[in-house]
Amino acid sequence: MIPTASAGYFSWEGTIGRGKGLWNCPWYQGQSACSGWNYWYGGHYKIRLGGDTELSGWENFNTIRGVYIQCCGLGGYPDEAWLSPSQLSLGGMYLRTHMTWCSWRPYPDCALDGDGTNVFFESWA
Amino acid sequence: MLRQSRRLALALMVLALVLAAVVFIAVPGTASSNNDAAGVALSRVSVRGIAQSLPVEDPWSKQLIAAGFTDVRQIASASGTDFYRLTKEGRKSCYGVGSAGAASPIGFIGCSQSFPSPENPIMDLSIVGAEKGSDAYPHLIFVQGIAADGVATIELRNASNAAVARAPVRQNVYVLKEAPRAAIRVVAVDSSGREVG
Repeated sequence: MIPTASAGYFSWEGTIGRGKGLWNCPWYQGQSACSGWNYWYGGHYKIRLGGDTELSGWENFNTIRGVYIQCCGLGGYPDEAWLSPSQLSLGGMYLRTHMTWCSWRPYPDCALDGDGTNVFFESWA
Repeated sequence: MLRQSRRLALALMVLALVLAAVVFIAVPGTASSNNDAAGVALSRVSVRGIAQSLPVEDPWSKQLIAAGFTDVRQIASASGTDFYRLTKEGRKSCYGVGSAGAASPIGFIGCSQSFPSPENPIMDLSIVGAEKGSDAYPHLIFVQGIAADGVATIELRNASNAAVARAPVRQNVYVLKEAPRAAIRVVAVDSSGREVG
């Protein structure tokens, strides 16, 4: 059963990498961090320290979506993002905000070491 | 007569040495100038924008205003996507995208300290995702981004780094609404077909 919508705010700062994160995401546990469930309308994601690429966005049990961000704007990606789930075609859905280390990308600019990247993210509902 | 021939031979030798020196200096100099020009083209986004204001009644736009985004300029529009340049204190460059006609005009803003530069000639703002039961890993869904002046096209690459699609850069932006499922990243290509960045 899906609870009724309520205004909310979530923020988290910590390290994501191999075996590091909040272990609370429907997708990619052990390398990601998620907010609680809500009808989020926007999020802010930032790399604080570390070279790994992070997929940053929203997810539910069926779908994970987001945008890549990477330290210092390397790899052709931003290092900080403000993102609405509507932009991911997930507007009005019951979701968790997430940041996920992208271990699945088989080439160097994803920094496959997974040693850990310090990130901050927050979201609004 | 003999003395005149020796003088002529000496003059020719000096001339040959001077010409060799000119060629030696000029050729590397030309290559250097070309490299400099290419570097400048990869460090610049020339498109001019039209000033816009964000709707204060929209909660997400209010959040962006509170975050300090000012001087919003729409720089291009392509395939139903509007592209923006934004100013934020302390950030070198911020760019945004949004669906034309949406209640929240800007759905995604990315900021980078190193774009545009020869090392980072694009700021990729593509949407990535996966569906349970369909995808082994997240892939490009909606390709969009900002490109420096020296980028002519973008290529989508698969997990083996092979090109699976291309899109042109126009007015410093690129957009491809339906990326092939195998596409997982975007690379920049200059007008000679060379990968840059």
